[in-house]
Amino acid sequence: MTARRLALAAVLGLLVLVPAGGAAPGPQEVSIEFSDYRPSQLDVLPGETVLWTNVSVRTHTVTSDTGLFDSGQVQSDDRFGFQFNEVGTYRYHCTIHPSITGEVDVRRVTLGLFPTAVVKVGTPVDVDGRTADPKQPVVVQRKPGGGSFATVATVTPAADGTWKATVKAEVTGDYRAVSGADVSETRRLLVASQHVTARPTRTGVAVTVTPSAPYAKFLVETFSRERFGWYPVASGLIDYVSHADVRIPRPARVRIVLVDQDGWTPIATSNVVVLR
Amino acid sequence: MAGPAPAAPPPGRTIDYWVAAVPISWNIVPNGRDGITGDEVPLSDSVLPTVVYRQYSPHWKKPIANAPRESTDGLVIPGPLIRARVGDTIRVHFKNLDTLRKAPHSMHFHGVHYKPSSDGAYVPGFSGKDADVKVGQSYTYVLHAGEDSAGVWPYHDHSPSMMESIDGGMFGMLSILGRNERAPDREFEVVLAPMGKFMTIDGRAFVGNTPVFHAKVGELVQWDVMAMGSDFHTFHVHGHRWISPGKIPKDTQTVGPAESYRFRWREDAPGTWLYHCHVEDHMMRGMIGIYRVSR
Repeated sequence: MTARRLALAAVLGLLVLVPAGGAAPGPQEVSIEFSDYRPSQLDVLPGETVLWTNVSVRTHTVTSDTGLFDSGQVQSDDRFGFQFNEVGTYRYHCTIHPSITGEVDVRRVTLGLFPTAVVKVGTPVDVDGRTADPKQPVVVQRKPGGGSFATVATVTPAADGTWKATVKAEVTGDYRAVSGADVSETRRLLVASQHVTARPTRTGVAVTVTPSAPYAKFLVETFSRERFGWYPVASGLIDYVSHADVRIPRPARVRIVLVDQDGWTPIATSNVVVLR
Repeated sequence: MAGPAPAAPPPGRTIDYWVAAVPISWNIVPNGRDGITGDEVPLSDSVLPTVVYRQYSPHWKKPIANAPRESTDGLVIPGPLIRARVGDTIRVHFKNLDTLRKAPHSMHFHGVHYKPSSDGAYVPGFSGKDADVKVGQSYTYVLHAGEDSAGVWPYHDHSPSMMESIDGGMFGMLSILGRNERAPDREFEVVLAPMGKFMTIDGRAFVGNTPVFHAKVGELVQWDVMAMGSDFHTFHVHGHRWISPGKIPKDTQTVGPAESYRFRWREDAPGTWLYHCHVEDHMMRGMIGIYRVSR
């Protein structure tokens, strides 16, 4: 244990030089698990250190794809640190298990994670992040589907570079934070602004989405014992008047799930229709 | 609903397959859970953008099913089931439509005869366009099913992007019948491979998501089993046995990377059965499915 701590101290001593006068947050942590880095993607500010800890029983490495850094073998419970000074994207992998990959993104302004599930219309959503330039205001921008980015909030960062704002969930869209010429990563907020109704027809179900969602993607799910629950049996697109007719063989218990661009993330789920 | 497997074409024919590498958004666990333990699986773990082999109508006019629905549950992992008979020539017309990663791709086939120009394996300074088909380009692989080609065999990407492409599901099977061998009534494709955090069968994990195979008592069923990746698996079907080449009855078969096996039996056991990899860690991470036999 002592040897390990010494090794860590040696590594950090060589690599960690906190910029004078700047914010001095603790290192950003990544766990090395059995078969992945967690988180596999991390946003840091220039000058910050990332500290990897092997919490698995396997030996791994943290090796830059471009040769910038290489931990060598990191045994169980051991650590490795590296300080990132330049803005950019840094991909890395484990040389022992090449399918284990990770990424550190160094940006001068960052945007924290959003809720992964859909939020209801009107819900206040906390957004936060950090900036390398606390003197500049941070502008939060939103781009609804098909539009362009527009400002939804402007905030003054704290002296340590952290910032936070609250935005009202109105419509599904991409968000980013801007500080001067610097732009954060883009994150998507899913808002359940739509309501899906399914009603039985002679051949299956008729689907209506309100307010209208032309060309939105949906899944047709049926409930079945051999699928151990609700299971997608078809997919489709809502038409330009926000309607769709779906053919479904009887008997079936059916529901329609409006989904996001990835074809899977649910935005709204219809009533259940029983076709006898 | 599913009828008997279509009969193989007459011997000595030339068979054309049209295949493209296409991006898709893939869900490894569409019902969102491990149906046995009840554990929920978040979409952030199960959904990933990837590139797969997709079968097309001639000249890549429109995508068609990769295999009869009964063979892979209508999934697009594995790639098109390439069926032939000993004596046939197979032409696989491959097009790279990978607009996701914009990576080069190829197809490399096991078990059949071909010239080096149809090997599809990238070796700098030696291999040609067959091994490095760029986005928007196409290549035709010419394969011959010889007397020693009867059986099932893998094919997979062997281009410069092969590591991430195979991890993402760019593999499939050839199923070649002997010259006078009868086709089975049911043919089930089982590809054992890791994907993301899961151990998958045909790119899906946990009961209900992995293919639900169906057969009737009296039918001749054939299981096509192979593995991709870096792990060994032990494939097991409950309630059944088959005769291995040494005339030994078996109910479990070890399958290593790129190994492939074909088992047949005359179905006589009605009920709902499990099929799974018996490496317990793999089974717990999703490598398990159900097989339903009706009277």
